[in-house]
Parts: sequence; C-alpha cells; structure tokens
Amino acid sequence: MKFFIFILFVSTTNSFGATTEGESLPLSSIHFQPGVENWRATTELGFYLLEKTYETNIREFEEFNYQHITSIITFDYGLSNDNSLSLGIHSSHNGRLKKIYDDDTPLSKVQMGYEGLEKVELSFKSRFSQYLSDGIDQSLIMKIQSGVVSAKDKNASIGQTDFFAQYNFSFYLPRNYEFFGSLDIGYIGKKKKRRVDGETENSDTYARMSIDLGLIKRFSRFYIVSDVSFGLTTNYNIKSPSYNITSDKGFFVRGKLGLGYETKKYLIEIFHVTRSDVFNKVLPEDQIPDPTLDYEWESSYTALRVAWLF
Amino acid sequence: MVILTKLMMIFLVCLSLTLKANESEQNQAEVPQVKKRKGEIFISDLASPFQTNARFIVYGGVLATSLAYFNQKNQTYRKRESLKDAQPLGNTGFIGDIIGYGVLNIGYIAWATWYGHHYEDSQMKKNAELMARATLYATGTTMVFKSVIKEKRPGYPDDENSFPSGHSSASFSFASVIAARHGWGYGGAAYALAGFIAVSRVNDDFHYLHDILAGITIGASFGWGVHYNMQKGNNSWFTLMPTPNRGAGIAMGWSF
Repeated sequence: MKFFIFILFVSTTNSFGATTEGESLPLSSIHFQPGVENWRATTELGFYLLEKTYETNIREFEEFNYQHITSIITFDYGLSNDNSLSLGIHSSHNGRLKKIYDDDTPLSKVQMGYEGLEKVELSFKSRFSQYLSDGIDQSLIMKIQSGVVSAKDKNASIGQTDFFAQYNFSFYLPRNYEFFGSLDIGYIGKKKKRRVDGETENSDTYARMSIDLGLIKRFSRFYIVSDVSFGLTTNYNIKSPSYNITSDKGFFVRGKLGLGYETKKYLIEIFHVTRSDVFNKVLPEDQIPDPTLDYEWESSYTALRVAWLF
Repeated sequence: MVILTKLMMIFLVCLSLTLKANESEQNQAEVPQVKKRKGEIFISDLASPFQTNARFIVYGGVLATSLAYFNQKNQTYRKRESLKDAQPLGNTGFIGDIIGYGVLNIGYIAWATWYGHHYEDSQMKKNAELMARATLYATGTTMVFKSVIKEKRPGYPDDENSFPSGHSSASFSFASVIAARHGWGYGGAAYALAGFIAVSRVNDDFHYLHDILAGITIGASFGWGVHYNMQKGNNSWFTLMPTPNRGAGIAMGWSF
C-alpha cells in the first residue's frame, strides 16, 4: 500500500507572537483550545515499529516485531474559552507481525498481517488560571481510551479501557522559546489477546507515572519541537496457560523531535518518536537470578500531523 | 531511623536559631499578621496542604498514589537488587540516597540563615524559616506514616519503613520552597534534583512507586502549604516527629 500526500497551504494571516491569551495561542501549544463552538480537526499518519523482546545475553526466548501504518483522526470542540472535548479515532493499516520463538519452545516462527480500528479516545481538557505561581500556563486533561475492535492477535477486545490524567504547564522564554512539560498518571487496563497457537494471553492492570519536558523554538511560522519523557510503572504481568511473565516494576524513556509550520488556522508537523520500556522480571525465591535477563519493548514512530481550525 | 532522628534534632536547632533571628523582623511581615489562638494556629499549619492552594497537589498526589498502590500486585521481597537493565539510574542511585537525607534542606537553612544575618536580609531569614518549617512538617508526617503503616521495602524485607518515602518528602519540600521563594528557574533545577532523588529510591529497591508518590505529595504539599500560610502571617509551627524505639512526639515553636 502506498500513500501519496499533497498538502498545499496558502496563508494570508499574519504570524503571531508568543502569548498566553486564549484563542491566540498557537495551534502547537499544549494549552490550545478551540474557541467557543469552534472545532479543530487533526489528522495524523505515521509509520510505527515495535519490537518486544524477552531475552538473556545468550538466549532469546521470544521476539515480537510489529510494524504498521497508524492513522489518527481527532476532533476538538470548544465548550467554553477554557474547556474543550476531544474525540480521537486510532486505526492501524497494513500491519505485519513477526513472532520468533526460542528453539526450545514448541512454538514456531509466525508471520501474519493485521489491521483495524484500534481504539477510541475521549478527552476533556481544561485550561485554568494560576494557582501556584504567576507566569505559567496550566491545563488539565482527563483522557479515556477504549478499544472497540481488535486487530487480530495484536490488541485486546475485552477490558481494554485505559485512563489518563495529565497536568500540563508551560511558560515563555526570550527569543521565542517556549518551555513546556506535563505530569502524567495512567491506569492501563487489562488486556486479553488471542494467540495464533490458540492460547489466550492476559495481562493485568498496571499504573504509570511520568514526566515530560520539552522546548519549542519558533521562527515566525516555523517551529522546532523536542521533548523527553521519563516514567515509572508498577508491575506488568502476562499470564497464559503455558507461561507467565511477572515483573514488579518498570520504567520507560521516550524522546521526540519534530519540525512544524503553523498559521492561526493550520498546522503541519513531521516528527519522530522513539521509546524504550524495560520491566524488572521477578523470579521465584528458589531460583538464582540471572542478571542479564531482559524484558523490554523498543518502539519508534514517524508521522505527519495536520491540524486545522474551523 | 537513628540517623533521621538525629537529623530532626539538627533541624530543631536550626529552626530555633532561625525563629530567634526573626524576632526583630516580626513587624516587617509580608502581610500583616492575623492574631490567632494557639489551637487555631496549630490546626491551620497542619491543615495547610488542604486549606491553601496546595490542596491541588494533594488531590493529584492522592490520585497518583492510589492508582500506583492498587495496581501494585507483586509485593515482592526479593532480598536482592533488581535487574541492572531495569535500573534507569544504574549505579548512581547512591547519590540520591546520600543527599536525600535532608542534606539539601539543612544546607539551605544554614546558608539562608547566615546570608540573612550577614547582609541583614530579612527575606532570606524568612526563607530559612519556611524551609525549616516545611521540612519539619513533611518529614514528621512521613515518619509518623512509616511508624504506623510498616510496609516492607521491596529489596530489603527486613526493613519496614517503605511507605512513604522520606527522601522524596524531604527533597520535594526543599524543591517546593525553592520554587516558591526563588522562582521557577531555580525551582525547576531543584525539582529535577528532587526527582532524581525520588527515582533513585525505586532504582535501588528501597521503595515502590506508590511510596515515592506519597512522599512527593507530602513534601510538595507542605512546601507550598506552609509557604501560603506564612504569606498569611502565621507565626508558629507544629509538627509530628519520630523518637527512638518507634515512638512519636510533637515539636512546636512560636516566634513572638
């Protein structure tokens, strides 16, 4: 499947300066709200790669490689000057999954395709006045993600609801720099997957707490954005009839670099995200721990995002 | 516990010196002080995380701590360190362990007190008092929780002082005072350092995630709460503090 995208922007509006006033915030701002009864539509198309490995330095128990085209369509609706509702639809296309198992296991190498609607995301966003200190913009986002259709053997179809609460802040620096960040709390719901060998694999709920810090440099209508995230998780456990993977803690590191162009009505941004999740494997007390045992996810995502206000 | 108890005593000495230094400054309070009865002042100070805008920190912190706690299904006591790959700070966690014992707080109190005296800077004397009060409240509350809850540490099950994290509460009370009094430039750096200390506690298997989230909530809420209380002009402090052999006591002081 090939995608050809032609985007032509003709803007007659003036570029804006950094400001904290309601609707005049740039579309790239994390505090941006569409005006009352206005809409902002965002489409995103990207290539996603994910590699999950469970290995030691001499032996790889299993390796799952996912790759697909992701499309996200989001609509934001302004309820008031400081509040908005958002609906996002995530789907995957042309997905390919490779499963590679250790020779000692009865499972053999598998390659399969997948695609479908992944999840629907509903968010409420509120921008609020100063409580802690002057000069800082703040907003709060409550987000619920729920899967509706499972892409075969990739996503859960039962109990996939995730809940996120996010506190955002930002302030403006000289020379058109904007420093921003967020604190995230996440509740990741249970996942149930049907494996190709017929087994059902269940993962328990777990929680996530993370911080994100970033910087935007604006050159008139162009901007460069970069941010890094670090988070800690509680346990992430997988259970199936033939094996259990149990962890008691984990962490992730994520980085993003993007280049964008925006006017008061339109935004286009290309960005790349890379992320690594590592979980601490728990072994029974009577086993000698293997210090090289490694259970981790490596993912990268390159995407083009377009947003417009109407 | 013994080390922390000794540190508490040092805090009290520093605090007494700070309050004494402020005697001559009472008429120059930021806002005219409101005369309150002693009981009212105690309750006001202790409840500052709930009665001031710091309550938003409490709300978010309680939510985060609860989520982490109720999703922590593996209360494992490994009697060993976690995997090296699962330690984001590698072998540097010991730095957080050392400076998280209130070193930053004590250092700031000493420096601000000296600076205030040497340069006759009443604001810095106030800052030293705020740091001392916030630290005492935060660490005192933390130690009381530790004594009551007695949760085992994930990597060291013989030690039952896991919940909440004292390092996190002390370092975040420090960072909150810095942010409140010196702006977000210094405050951001202080919060980064406090974050490093908190993460080092999980990194080195002294705490679960919910332990450090609770510690962060206690420290930040008292840092900001006492700051707001001082802006209102309260002239006393009151805190719970541990004593040897798992006891608990009350420490209090007035400036008059």
